[in-house]
Amino acid sequence: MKYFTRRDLVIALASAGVTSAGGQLLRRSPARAAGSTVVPTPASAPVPEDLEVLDDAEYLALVAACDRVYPRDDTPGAADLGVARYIDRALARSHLPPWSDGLRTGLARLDAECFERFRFPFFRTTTANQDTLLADWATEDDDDGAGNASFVSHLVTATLEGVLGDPIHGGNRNGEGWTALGIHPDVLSPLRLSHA
Amino acid sequence: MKKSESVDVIVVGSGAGGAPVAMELARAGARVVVLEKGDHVPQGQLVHDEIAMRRHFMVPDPASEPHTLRYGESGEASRTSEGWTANIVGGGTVHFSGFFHRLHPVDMRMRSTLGPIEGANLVDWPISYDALEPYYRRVDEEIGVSGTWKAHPFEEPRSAPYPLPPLDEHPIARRIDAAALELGLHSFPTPRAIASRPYRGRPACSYCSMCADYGCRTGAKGSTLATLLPAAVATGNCEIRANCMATEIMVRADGRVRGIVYRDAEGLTRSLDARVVVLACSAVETARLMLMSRSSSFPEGVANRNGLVGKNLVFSAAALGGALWDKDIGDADERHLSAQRSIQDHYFIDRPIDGVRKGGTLNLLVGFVQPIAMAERIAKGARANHTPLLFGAKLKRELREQLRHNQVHFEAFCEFYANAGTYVDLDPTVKDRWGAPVARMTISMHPRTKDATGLLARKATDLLKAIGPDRTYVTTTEGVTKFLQGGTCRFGDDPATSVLDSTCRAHDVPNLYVTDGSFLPTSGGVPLTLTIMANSFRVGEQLVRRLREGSV
Repeated sequence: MKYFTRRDLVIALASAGVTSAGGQLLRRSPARAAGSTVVPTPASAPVPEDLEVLDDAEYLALVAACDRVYPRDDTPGAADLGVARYIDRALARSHLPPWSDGLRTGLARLDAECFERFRFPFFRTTTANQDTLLADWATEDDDDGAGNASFVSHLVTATLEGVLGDPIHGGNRNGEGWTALGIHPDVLSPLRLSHA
Repeated sequence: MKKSESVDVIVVGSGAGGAPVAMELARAGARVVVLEKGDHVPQGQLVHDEIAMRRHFMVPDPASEPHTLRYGESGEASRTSEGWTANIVGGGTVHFSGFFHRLHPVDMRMRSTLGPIEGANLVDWPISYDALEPYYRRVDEEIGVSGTWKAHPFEEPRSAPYPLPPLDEHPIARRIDAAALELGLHSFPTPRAIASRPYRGRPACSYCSMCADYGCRTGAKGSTLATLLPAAVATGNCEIRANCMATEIMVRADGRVRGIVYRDAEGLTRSLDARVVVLACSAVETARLMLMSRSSSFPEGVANRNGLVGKNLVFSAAALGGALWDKDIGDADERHLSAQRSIQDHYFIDRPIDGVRKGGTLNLLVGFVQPIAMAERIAKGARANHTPLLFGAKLKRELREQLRHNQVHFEAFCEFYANAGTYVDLDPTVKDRWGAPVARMTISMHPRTKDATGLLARKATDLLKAIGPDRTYVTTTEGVTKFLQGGTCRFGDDPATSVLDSTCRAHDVPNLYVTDGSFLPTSGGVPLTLTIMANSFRVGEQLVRRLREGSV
């Protein structure tokens, strides 16, 4: 981990063809130039322009990590359902979810350890490597509740909220997280309020 | 601090313990102020949105207003939102399921029935079931409880039928009945605090199924928000102050209570004087408020001269499990409100089974309305302790199998034997965001409790197997349902061994009452809410008499 700097990530991303220039990684950098190349990753569409809290690197790591928690098979996975988008929005609320604790620093650690072990940031390594890393973290000792195991546990909770929560919150795209499990949306929201 | 105002009675808390007594007093003409920590959410705005419920409703954020919890006295207590019932006008009754079983006569005389049990603080109540029965009936009538009278041989004595017939049930109920019959058990329709017919201006249940953990948007569910509180306010004598958290019980030099200091919706500290103060903040928070309120008369907290405030904390002990079918059971679109079945054959057992005489109530349920919570339990291995976190394809496979209308769940409600290792005190280090010490819960489960939950889990599994599922599972036999809490201010006749007298007035303070679950010396074998409401009516009636006599 000590070998890894943000600059390494920038270089890795640039060399992977994710972005045309390192500076554009950071969301609050000048608006992404028209025509800049953002290559869709295995798990993700381009980084949305209107993220509320996460920066691009965090978002990319999160999309990939959520998609390992809830992968696509014959039904949509977390990336298809917009789960990372849900999480970004939840982090912008005043009443922070309990799983928000340490989520962003955990994502940075995830990228750092991945870079150290597999020489790529998390979203760029193979799904097998991603699974290995998450499984290793999930079984680490974590007595103070702020370590890697807690991060994975929080990630699972956040992902499930994004898969199975009301689409009004930004995840569970078109209610497909529900319908894939045979949950009829009307069963959950029979008297749906207009949330406006 | 603003100049103090004065009323007849302050009731702290608007849930099951606070609302009945507030209504009784207001109807009798007393000027009542109800202080409620939570928000006043109009019924129509009780959204059926699981994320909103998880985040915003009812229990505060453990970062800013935690409880702390430890199992056993040796461990360090960790922050949790458990042990809060609900910070909202209506309290826990807003999100309850409304399983309205009564206690049984044996619950009031556990010590004389079972004798002393090592390691358990088992006592008889200072009142009998018969003394409480009229108030159970009163709740039935005020709330509109639905159920079937004389549906099974173990029913507690009742002086009147249920005011409403039972709710519509899932077709699996017939198969449960057949299996129970085969095993010699007696299943019966679960009594619910939900209107099966229009009742006193409230509509009949619409069968949306969003009862547990959600607020009812029609008012068919008999929360105090939908029933007693509007009735209290309608008298013109009762004001509900939402977003007002009591922070101190003020005590006069003579040891009587003067009133309450509270933080109002704007965060200002205010004080309110009263002839009588009634605490009903839930067993954990009532104990915390009493322990925090120190004065020269009560250096260890109000009414705590014997050191028993916070001791003898009890919960409803739970066993959880279920049965799974490969195919879905019944039609999800059918109109029903769960399986609606209970069994009390093992509530009290004359000839002990596996050493158990006091069992409890089995509830059988179908359907789920919290897919996130359920998925989280599946992912985190709550179904079997110490299983690794599930994610990826395995998690999806398990969710597909379990998040369907293909199972019957059981929930057993059993006696949590009060013991010296289970109590509430003030956390020595953790403070809330205003700097006040938070309530620390220390929990230790008596072996007899686990014997009872274990027995009921086995009986439930036998019953479910007789219906013919593809597999059964037991989630836990060591569940502690922390919404259902009591015992921190036991009532009793002896001031040396109890905090409250038989009328739920503090032995040490003639104008201080407690009407939430704190009074309960035993937790019984049913959910506690109905009993808390009945007792609050009982206390309210006595308090009205004393106020009229001027003897308080």
